[in-house]
Order: sequence, then structure tokens, then C-alpha cells
Amino acid sequence: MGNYADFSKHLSKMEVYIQKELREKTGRLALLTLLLLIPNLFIKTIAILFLSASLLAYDIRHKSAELLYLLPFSKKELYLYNLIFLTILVAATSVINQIFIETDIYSRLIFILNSLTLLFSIFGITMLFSGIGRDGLGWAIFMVILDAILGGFGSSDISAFNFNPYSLISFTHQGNVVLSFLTSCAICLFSYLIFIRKGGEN
Amino acid sequence: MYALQVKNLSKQIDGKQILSDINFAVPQGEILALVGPNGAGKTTTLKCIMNAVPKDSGEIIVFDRPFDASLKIDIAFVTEDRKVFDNLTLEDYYNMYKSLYPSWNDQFFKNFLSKYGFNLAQEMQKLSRGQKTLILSILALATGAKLIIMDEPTQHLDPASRYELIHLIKQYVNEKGGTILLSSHEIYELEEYATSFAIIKNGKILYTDTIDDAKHNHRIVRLNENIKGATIVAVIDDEVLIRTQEDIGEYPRLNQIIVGYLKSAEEGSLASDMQVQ
Repeated sequence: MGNYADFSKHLSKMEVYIQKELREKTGRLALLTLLLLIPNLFIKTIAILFLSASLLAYDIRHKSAELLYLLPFSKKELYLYNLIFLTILVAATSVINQIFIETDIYSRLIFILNSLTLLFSIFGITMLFSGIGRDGLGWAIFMVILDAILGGFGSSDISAFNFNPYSLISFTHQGNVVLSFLTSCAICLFSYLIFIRKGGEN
Repeated sequence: MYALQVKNLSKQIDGKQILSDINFAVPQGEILALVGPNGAGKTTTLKCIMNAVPKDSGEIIVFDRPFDASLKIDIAFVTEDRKVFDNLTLEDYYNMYKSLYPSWNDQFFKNFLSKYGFNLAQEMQKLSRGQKTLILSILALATGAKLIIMDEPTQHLDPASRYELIHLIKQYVNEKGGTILLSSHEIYELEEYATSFAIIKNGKILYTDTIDDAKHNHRIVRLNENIKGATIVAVIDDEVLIRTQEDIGEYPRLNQIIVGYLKSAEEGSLASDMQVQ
């Protein structure tokens, strides 16, 4: 009963937060959601970059996150609400992408996983740098380019003479779907821990 | 019982010590005013209490519990800059506060709306600074939170609204048992509603007490008066503010005590070293 009440309370708080974000940033969020509907991972990367930087990271950059911190939201909650909202948005648009493409269920699931790998890495990097007082968007763009360069060297084929192990975990190249997804989850978790620690929460 | 205790709070920003071992406590059911000049550290102190600005060290105890974010449902905050979320209407704010604060007082808020004729469809950012001050204060009072923190609550208000807000603040404390911590420059009006105060300058608390006890423990005497054994706080024009309970001179007004302590810090001559023989 207690758990249900807690869950319901969190759902209600998340709804308040998401409504506030949708009201405040309607145009930008609508445009970026449309971009997410284009079934191309490069365009998705750009859309995710700007989406990740449009929610809490935007408020931090424009010194208005304090308004949220003064309301009954913890920094942990805000981080998670951002992540949940973006996960739903990216997963839902990826599912819609796949409806119109004739392919097997396995490829569809891989595409959704590819999209989520991009999201967790990019969002994690954006929030990590925002949390330590740096420009989250700028650093996320830099890290995406760096990852694309580092992952682009050599081959992700383990038996190839020019095998590049980094390409397996690179979130832009995703040489290995599972490894790159797990790496992205690790980036996101690390970013969460730093964000709440720097924010004065345990 | 204390609604809020701030213990040894310190904060550095960009290498500058903004707060240095801040200590004060707000008893439940009272109004404590944090007073001091611009840049004294009032706003940073208030934001550190809510962890909107993370503290470097120190303790924040709210209702006998170390502060954590779950306690924020019992604390409402009015910011000094009256910043509001872009594109949100008064109705959005109303819905947001109503959902976030479990003790929300709908009747109180609606009475205020009808009294001042505010339209729920009005965009908050388009309101004047005075209107925002009033609405944000009313939203805070309507939360039913046990502790309300208000940064310069009467700034930008016309005299009628100022009178109304002070009345509502007093009502909130006297009738609903709430507690208020506020910061203010308006040292002449504080006596109207505050019960205790803390003087802050350069990130340090110079003095804190209830208004009644502070008056009881200080006197204003003439420069040439015999003040043997008393502790001089500051010389204010041709008078001297001293700390004593001896029956000499006159009882000071609150503003004289505040000015005296601010002046003493300015001159770097805190009275503890200035025993007059």
C-alpha cells in the first residue's frame, strides 16, 4: 500500500514537471520530436543532442533550475524524470519509425536499442557536464564527435588485423549492440551519481 | 521547538567566502527576519537552506530533522528576483502548487484571486514585478507549508499591498501556527511583524535575538554619559548603542540596534573588545 502511494506520488510529481516542461518549451520539443520520427540514426543523434540539452540542462544553463530546486523536487527526481521522459519519447518514436519499415522483429528491437544507447550516452554526458557547471550541450557535441572519430578507426571485427576495441563500446558506432548499450547505461549511472553528489544530495 | 536551525553554514563561490559559519535558529510559530546590506549573504543563506545552492559545510535542521528534499513539501519559498517559468499562466502555477503541496489551501487562494481580480489565464512573466511579488507570496502562503521562506517579501509592493501582505504573514503565524523566515532591507517596518531577527554582514551573523530581548539588553545613551561596565556596540551620530541591562539611557528601537551592529562591523570594532571604564 505504502509503495503504491509512493509510486502514485512520484507519478503525479513527474506529471507536474513534464507539463511544466511541455508548456515552457512547446515549440522546441515539438520540432525535435518530429526529427526523432525520421528513421535515421544520424538525425536521431542530432535530435537527442538537442533534446537532452533542452530540459533540465537548459534550465541549469539559463540559471532557472533554481526555481525547480526551490519547489518540492529533489535533484534525483528531476534527473530521473528527464531520463524517463526522454526514454519514452525516444522509444516511442523509434517504434513508430519501425512500423513503416518492412523488416523482422529482431532488427526492429536492435534499432530501438541503438536509439536508447545514443540517448543514455548523450543525456548522461549532457547532465554530467551540466552538473559540474560546464556547458552540457557544448561538451555533448564535442564528445559525440570524439566518439565518432575514435570509434571510426579500424574495424569492430575482433578477428580483423585492424581491430579497434573501442568501436565495440562506441555509442555512435555501436560495434557491439549489447556492449555499447551497457557502456551507455554506465555513463548514465555515473552522470546521475555525479549530478546528485555535486547537487548536495546523497 | 525550532522549525529551522542553521548550524555553521559556510559557502564559497568562485573562491570567495560568501557565508562563514552562519548560525541561527527560528523557533516554531515565529517570524525571523534576516537583515543586512546588499551582498551580505542573505539570499545565499536562504537558498542553501533549500539546497538550491549546495552548501560547503554546516547543518540545516528542519523540524528536528536534517534537511533532505522530502521535507520540501513543508517549506515554501518566495525568491527575491521573482523569476517565474516562461509561458506558464497563473492557472498553470495554481495547478502546479496544488499538486505539489499536500496541505494546499484552495479557499485561501481563490479568495485572494477574487479580491484582487487576477485572471487565471494571465501569463506570469507578463505581470508587473509588484504583481508577481504578491502572487508568489500568496501562492507560498496557500501551500499550507509549515515553514515559509521569503526573500524580501515586501519589496516592489505598493503601500496597500504591502499592508495586506504583512497582515497575511501575521495571520499565517498567529492563526495557523506557521513559521516564517524572511530577509529584508526594510528595517523600519520589521518591528511591525517580525518576532526575532539576525543581522548578517559579509557572510557572518553579527547578532541574533528576539526583538524584545534585544531591546531589553541594549540601551541608547549620550556620548558623554557614564557607561561604566557596559559594552559599546557602536557610536551612532551623537549617541552610543551599548549592550547592558543597567537602567541607564533609553531603550533603543530595532532599527537603531540593526544600524549599530552593521556600523560596528564596518568599523571592525565589535564591541566585545571595547569595555568603557
